[in-house]
Amino acid sequence: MWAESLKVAVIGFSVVFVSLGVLALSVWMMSMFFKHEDKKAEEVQQ
Amino acid sequence: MSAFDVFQMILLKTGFFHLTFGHVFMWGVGLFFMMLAIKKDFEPLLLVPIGFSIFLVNMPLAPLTGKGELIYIFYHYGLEWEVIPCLIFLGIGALTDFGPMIANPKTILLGASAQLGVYIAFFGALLFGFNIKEAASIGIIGGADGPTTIYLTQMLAPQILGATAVAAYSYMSMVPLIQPPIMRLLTTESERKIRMKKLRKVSKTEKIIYPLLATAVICLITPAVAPLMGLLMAGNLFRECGVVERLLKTSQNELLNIVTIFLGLSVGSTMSAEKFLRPQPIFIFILGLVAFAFSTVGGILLAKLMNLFLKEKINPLIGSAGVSAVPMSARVSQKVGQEADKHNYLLMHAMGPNVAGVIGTAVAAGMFLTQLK
Repeated sequence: MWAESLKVAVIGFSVVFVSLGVLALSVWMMSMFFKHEDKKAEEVQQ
Repeated sequence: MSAFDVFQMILLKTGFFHLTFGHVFMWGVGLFFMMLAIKKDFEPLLLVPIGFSIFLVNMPLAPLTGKGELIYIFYHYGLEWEVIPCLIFLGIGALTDFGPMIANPKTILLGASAQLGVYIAFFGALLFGFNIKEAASIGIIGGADGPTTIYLTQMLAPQILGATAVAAYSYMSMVPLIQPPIMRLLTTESERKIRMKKLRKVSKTEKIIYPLLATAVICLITPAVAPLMGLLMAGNLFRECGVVERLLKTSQNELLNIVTIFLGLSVGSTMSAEKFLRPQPIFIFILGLVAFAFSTVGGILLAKLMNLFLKEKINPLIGSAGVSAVPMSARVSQKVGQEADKHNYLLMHAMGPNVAGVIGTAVAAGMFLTQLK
């Protein structure tokens, strides 16, 4: 039982980090994209 | 039949004749929860209906929790069918501003590390003799997220639902008491004084895209948690898109209030004397506290670790907000931060890990479901 529990915990905690890590990365990329688009729009206006 | 026989028959059918010490003890438990809510203002929206329901279902002979009876129906269709936790998430999504998290995405990781307590309590529960499914349901209390705790426990170990749900909501309401000593213990005065750069303004387009992005990322990685995450993000899309005002108001107010009533009454009804007065619930309460404390530790320690590599330091106090008691743990970060520097405003910075914690707990629950169901 302990080996199975350890496996459940290690996999679970790792997936929590991976999921939120991927989410953080996606959000960061989205932010970068919109910052870039805003800059382009400002340049066009000027 | 003599008048005495009639009187005796009526007496036998009253609750007085069937009253036990256990019932009276549970009345005390119910009254304690109501007292916490009314006198101390601890999660009153939940503790009042939960407390009253505990009081009510411990009235002997009352036709409430048997098959087909009133509170059984609430419980069966609301909790056993998993409707209520998901609808609560819809309301939470409609009330939550993910802007601070989008503005500083690295704080999302703090929401992951604050799930440490979930796994510590999971092992603790195994040591106390609980089986692996019960241990997972107890561990998730450390995420400080009531609906997720109910969702997971109902699927894995419905026999301990009452104790885990009440422990989760009780500890959520006690965030201002549990977290500050741990936060002070793990941080230095100079760390508590760290000021963070003002968050950038997040555009409306980013806020509209975010719920779609988060739904895709989380549901693709952990499909088991799609009902919770889906409705959380649906509620958030209602909020941010700006064109469904009526749906938004209903999700934030009427619907959330209605399901909260059914949730409170259903959860309280699981705490009858016969089920509750055993050593198990006491262990669950102890383990819940352990889970909560270690989740706070996990968030703070990762924030300190990140500071070793970051140019712009983050105040480690916001790490403790990674437990998902929204917005109470973010407020606690603000309060403890202002004890060290009264002009330091951490609230918005702490909201990032705080809302990330909701997602982190949902993913942790999803992984338990994936592996154990």
